[in-house]
Amino acid sequence: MNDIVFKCTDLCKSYKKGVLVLKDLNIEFPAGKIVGLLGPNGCGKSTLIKLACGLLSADSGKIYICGKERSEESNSLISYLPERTYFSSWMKVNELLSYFSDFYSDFDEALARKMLADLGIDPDAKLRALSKGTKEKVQLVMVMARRAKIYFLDEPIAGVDPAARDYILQTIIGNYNPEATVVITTHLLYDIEPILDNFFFMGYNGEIKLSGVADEVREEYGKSLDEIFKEVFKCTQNY
Amino acid sequence: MKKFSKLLSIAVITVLTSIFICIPVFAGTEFVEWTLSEDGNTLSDGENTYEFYMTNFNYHTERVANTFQYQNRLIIDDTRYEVRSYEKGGHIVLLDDYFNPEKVYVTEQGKKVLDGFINGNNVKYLLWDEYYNAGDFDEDILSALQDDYAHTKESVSINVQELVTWQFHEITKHDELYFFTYTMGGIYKNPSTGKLFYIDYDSLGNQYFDAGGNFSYRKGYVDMLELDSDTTEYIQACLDKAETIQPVYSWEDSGIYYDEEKALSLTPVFYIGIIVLGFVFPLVFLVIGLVFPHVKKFGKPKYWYALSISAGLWIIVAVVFLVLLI
Amino acid sequence: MYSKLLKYDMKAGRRTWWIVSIIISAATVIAAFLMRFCVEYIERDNRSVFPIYSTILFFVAFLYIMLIAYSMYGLLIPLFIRFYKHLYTDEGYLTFTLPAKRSTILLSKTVSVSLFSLMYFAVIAICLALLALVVPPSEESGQIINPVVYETIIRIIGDLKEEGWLGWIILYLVEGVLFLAAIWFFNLVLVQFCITMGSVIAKRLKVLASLGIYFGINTALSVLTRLLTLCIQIFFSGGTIEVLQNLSLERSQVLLALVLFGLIIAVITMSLTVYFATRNLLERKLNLA
Repeated sequence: MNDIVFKCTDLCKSYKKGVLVLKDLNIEFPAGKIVGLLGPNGCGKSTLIKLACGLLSADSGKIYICGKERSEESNSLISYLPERTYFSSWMKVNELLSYFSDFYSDFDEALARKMLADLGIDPDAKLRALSKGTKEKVQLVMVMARRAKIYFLDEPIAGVDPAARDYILQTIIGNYNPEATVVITTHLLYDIEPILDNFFFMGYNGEIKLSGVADEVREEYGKSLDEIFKEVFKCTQNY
Repeated sequence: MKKFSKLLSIAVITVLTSIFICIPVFAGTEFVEWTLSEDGNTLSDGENTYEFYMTNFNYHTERVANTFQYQNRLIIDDTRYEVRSYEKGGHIVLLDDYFNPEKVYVTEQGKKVLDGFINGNNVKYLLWDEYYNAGDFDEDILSALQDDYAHTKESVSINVQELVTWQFHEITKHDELYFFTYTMGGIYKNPSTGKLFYIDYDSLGNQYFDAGGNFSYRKGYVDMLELDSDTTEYIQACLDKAETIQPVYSWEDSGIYYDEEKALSLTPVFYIGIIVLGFVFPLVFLVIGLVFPHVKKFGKPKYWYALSISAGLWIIVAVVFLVLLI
Repeated sequence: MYSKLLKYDMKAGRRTWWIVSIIISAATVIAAFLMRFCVEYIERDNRSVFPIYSTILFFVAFLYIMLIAYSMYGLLIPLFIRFYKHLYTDEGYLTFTLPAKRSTILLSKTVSVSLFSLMYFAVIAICLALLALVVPPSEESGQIINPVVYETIIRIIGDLKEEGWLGWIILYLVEGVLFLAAIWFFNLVLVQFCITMGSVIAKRLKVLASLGIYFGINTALSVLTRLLTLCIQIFFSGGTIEVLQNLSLERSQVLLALVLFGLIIAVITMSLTVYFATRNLLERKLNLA
């Protein structure tokens, strides 16, 4: 259990009655690994992440973060990057840095300032005045500057250009806590594959179609994960 | 959406129910119909005829005698007039349009009363304490005060702003029915020395009064007459004998609160209201506060007990209220 | 964690409060000057009143009262929009991933809006007191505040003390203020509840759902308010009920104090119910999809 930072048992969640997004999901994420949670759109990846972060209430089942049942205290162990920007528009970048410093004891403000400087973002700038892309970068900096136990990055490279994609991946690799687990959800496996340690292929209703250590599976199948992914989900009629 | 529809339905039903509860019940009553002659000199209620007597600039009402207000049935040239008297069928009637001084109309009997009042015959005088108590004041003593005030060379001049903090007693003049009130003067008590002084309002010019005809304490100086010991003793005796005067204002359209029959039918409403608001309603909260901490669906939160404590206190207050009332 | 949440909630709302306060204060100063000028002019001519100054006085007073009445919305609407955005829109992703209990988050929001309300009423009270002291003209030219105003107040207090009413009046005033504060607080938590309920149960048109719930609850409460008003009117009607006719003055004083106290408890109870319901919804039913 000590090597498992995240675990869920028999997790069920539906948005509409009778329409299950996650059905009896059982999954574990090991510590100190970069884990890819991969699957087609609408299969429940973001739902699982949001349940882990407490943004959704599960219909049934349990979630454990670092061995303890999920609660508000778990939020101090989790660093979450959603697929949307979540800042209060009245703040400046400096105020956001103070905000994160105040609430998260593991927030490395010096590191965050360095990353912002590398990006050329003015700390006195108002958040509402920044472009969408810049806001996303600021958000990424805030998340990665934390020394959390587990990072949940929900579709971090969706909708961005290839150069920005590379930058984001470099930031992730270069700045996360090496003892922590990074869980990345995406349907763009090709870009993510080089950095993954472990992976889970998630189908609809949260069904885990394939999982394992990336290197071992590549060796076993003699193919890249991207090719295996296409095969696994090509065979599924309605994914 | 289904839940929202349910809520909307409940809201609509509640609105309709409350509209139904709120519809007032109008009982048909017969009101006096007033008519005014074209020249404005004669007013009639169908039985009695009232002649125009004067336009009231100087006298107040509602100080001593009761006031009876007729239901507004007099509308002339789109102007609604309020019709008042000291009682239903009284001999003196006031016609008031809210914007101009009242017009006074009288029967023969009423004319005699007002002639006496204006001429100083058959008038009554009262001395008031600082609240709503008053006693009879001797006319001769008042005349002596007025005389002394007018002719003495030993009056004291004082800044009226100082008088604001002095204890004050009015002397008022009334017709024999006590319908009209006119303030003759004021007795002021010096807070430092305890001596009494008299100011005769009747002899002062307009500059001493405000737009409402009341003595103004805003600015200026006024003469005061220091009272001798006999007068002081008399005034003290009057004040000691003063009785509470609480005129009653009643309406022809007495509505639910001033019709005794209707008022008596309110008794059960009053008690039902106390029971519902003091016991039934808080009981709901008490039960919620005790039950919810045990409901698994809500996560068995303990903070609901605070609600039961609050509701319990509410019921205790209602019990104490009933005990003190009964 | 609570103090940090409160700090940021106060930071978020302070701009709105400052704007409203400055507007009210500026309006008070302007209104005081204009009204004082008009009153002095009218007084100088004694009872002969030029209509134009009375008209100006009336309009200034009317506009000032309207401004005070609507400034409340100027303060509360942005605060409630902030409440909604901070919890039930994308900003909720940041709020609910903080290492803070949802009950603490709700408490800090409730306390912050209550504090802003308190500060707002303090500004209103100071402005109205300023008007009451400045508008009545003084005899001495250049004297802004007429001493007769506060001397009269002191005299009234002295009279009440002599008659033995001072203690009761102070008690009624305190209870009255507490009652109004309780009503205000109830309305604040009710709006929060309606926003939460609308966001939880409606997938779309959340604002409309919240408004509908607010209207529904107020309609239901109006039935009870009507009954309460009826009972209070009967109580004060001058004794048409036999038990009320036989009440002594002392007992009436105690009963009135008790009624006010009971009303405060009642409103607090309803406020607690609504607050706990909001908290329960937040803790168990929140789904930020």
